[in-house]
Amino acid sequence: MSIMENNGGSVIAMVGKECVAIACDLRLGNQALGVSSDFQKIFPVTDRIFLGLPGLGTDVTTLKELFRFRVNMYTIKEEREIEPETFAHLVSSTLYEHRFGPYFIEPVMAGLSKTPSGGFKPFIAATDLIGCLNFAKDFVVAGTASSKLFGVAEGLWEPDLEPEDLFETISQTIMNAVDRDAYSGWGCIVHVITKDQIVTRTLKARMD
Amino acid sequence: MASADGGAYSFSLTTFSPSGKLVQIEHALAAVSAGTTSLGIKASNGIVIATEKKTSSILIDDSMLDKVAVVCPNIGIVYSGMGPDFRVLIAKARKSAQAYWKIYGEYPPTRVLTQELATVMQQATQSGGVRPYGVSLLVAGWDINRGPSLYQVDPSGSFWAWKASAIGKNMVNAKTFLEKRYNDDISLEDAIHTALLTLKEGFEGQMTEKTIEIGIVTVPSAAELEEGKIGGETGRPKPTFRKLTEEEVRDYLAL
Amino acid sequence: MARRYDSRTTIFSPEGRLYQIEYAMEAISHAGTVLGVLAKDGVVLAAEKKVTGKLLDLAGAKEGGYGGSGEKIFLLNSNVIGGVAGLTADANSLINYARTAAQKHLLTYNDDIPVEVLAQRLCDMKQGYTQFGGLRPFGVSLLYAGYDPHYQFQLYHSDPSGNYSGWKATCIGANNGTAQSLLKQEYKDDIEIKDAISLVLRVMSKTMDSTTLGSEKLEFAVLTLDPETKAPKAKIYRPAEIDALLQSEGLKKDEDAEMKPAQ
Repeated sequence: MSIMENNGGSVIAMVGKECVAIACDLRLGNQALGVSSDFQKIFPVTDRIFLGLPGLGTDVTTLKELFRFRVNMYTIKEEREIEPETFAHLVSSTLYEHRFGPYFIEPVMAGLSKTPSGGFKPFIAATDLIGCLNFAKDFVVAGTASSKLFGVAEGLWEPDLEPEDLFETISQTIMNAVDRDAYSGWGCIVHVITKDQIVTRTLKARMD
Repeated sequence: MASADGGAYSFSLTTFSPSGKLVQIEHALAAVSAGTTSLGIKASNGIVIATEKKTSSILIDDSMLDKVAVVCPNIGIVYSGMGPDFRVLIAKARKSAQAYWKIYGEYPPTRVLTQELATVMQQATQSGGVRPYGVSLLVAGWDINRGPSLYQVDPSGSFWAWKASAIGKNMVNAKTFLEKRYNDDISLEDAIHTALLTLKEGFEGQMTEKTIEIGIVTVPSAAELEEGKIGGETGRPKPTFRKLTEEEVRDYLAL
Repeated sequence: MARRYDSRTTIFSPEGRLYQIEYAMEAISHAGTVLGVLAKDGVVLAAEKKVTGKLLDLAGAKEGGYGGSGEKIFLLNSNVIGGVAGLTADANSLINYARTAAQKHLLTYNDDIPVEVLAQRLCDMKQGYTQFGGLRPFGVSLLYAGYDPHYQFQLYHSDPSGNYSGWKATCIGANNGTAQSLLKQEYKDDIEIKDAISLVLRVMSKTMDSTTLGSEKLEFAVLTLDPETKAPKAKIYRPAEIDALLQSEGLKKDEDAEMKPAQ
């Protein structure tokens, strides 16, 4: 049994039209035994960036706090909020610092980056546990249900989805994927980020 | 002088005098004031930094002398004071810029790099067994957050943002001259000419492309910015700081 | 050797004095004034900027940031503002240390650092420089304006020796004697933030040597609680906001004489 599967859990992020969405399940398990149905794996980084941390439960908490530390130091020193691209590099380099004794987490990021003309551009990215970046234009997945998430997302995602349609797509994707994974599920949370608001919804799921 | 307590090298060389002054820093400033004049002017669409290049003999290959240094594609520095100290600081600045790039995938904003250099210089005023750096720096750069910015760093490790400033031998006169000449919507072209005119005051010998060094910061156009920070084929950011070639300096001097 | 005991910090003079600390304090007594007043519902800080010059670039960041011109008043953590008097370069190093210490506390305890703990962390370091290592002390005094749930609003002062103390109203830097006595006369217990703001500005305008009073000479900050979230809210005023505030208090003095160029 891989340490990456010890606690279970999955995260997915998708690009829409001038919006992005990121979703995770709520399960925390001890191998096949379900322990919690309220274990969030997605955390706000700035007003426009969310970070999902699927993997080993203890590292979820540790990395959440470590990135809070680093982002706070960045904000206070540079007197500005970190941009999604910059944050992705920070995540990557932080994980690579532990190349030979890594955190067992495969982070997923979603956010809106500011364009020079003052507009906003959707941004998603994911890395493996040692920080190899993957900038995708459509969707990124990670966690114990990643293979299923990939399959469903390939079928359901299409370009330029409006926020509401993107919500529907990402919800259907994660719900159907985690139902097919014994280590993910027990409810989901979805965040949809648009330029003027963030909509967060909790989804009920099968409890088996 | 190796001993259990670290010997003489563990003591601050820079200490407070009864009047509350750090005399070593004041002496370092004197070293700066003895150095050749350098200046910087922030224009509405860029920055110019310039300095006088002096050689002790005509036999020196002056093309090998660099007083305006490129730190990273968006930042350049000029100095007055001790050349060797500057060289060491530039090496540190470049290292720091690359370290920043390794973490964030982009080069540091001017203020952050300046802050970093200022920290290095401050530490030299408080650490054991070292003297302060004998240079003042003018740091010019462009970043998306603050646009073009010009900073001066002193041997004490304090720094300020300037619209225009001068350091070195002729700094008092040069500053007065700049105060008279400066206005907020000066263009980069005008600023370059003003820089040359300022240097001319109190210049010893002939002003030529061999005895003047100029660096400029340009502001990328909206279209260039929109294209993204990665410059096309090379995967490298398009430089916003560059040194003028000898030909370019000659052309400016001719005008 | 007439100056045998005064250039090294680790040595007492025969009379039991540490000269380097005394000299460092001397440096601070020439620095720009920083003034703090503790109110019932907040803390106010104001500072006099000594570095002036026609060509100083006061524009600051285009957007974002936390305000201020970043010379005398700094955000140390979401619940603490610091005001510095003394050597700017030494101050920068202390501010950096304070910010890191505050974030380390947050990482360890998942709570904002209590104000006194932060003041103490800095003072432990300052003290260290007066006892071992043979290094000179920091030429900086600080005022900390902060909030924590246990002791609510607080105002602390620390000096180069590593001493710190809590205050209702205090002042560091040049003319601090004048300001202190003015504060003694005018401070009332249970003062509200609104009155504290005008008290600070009034005292500032009386103690500063300069004929002008505006954002080019003054930094200003207030720490209050957000009425909705009840979380501490640090507001470091931007230059335009300072001018507007002085205007509304009727204290703005425009430059009549030509400003002196920087030394």
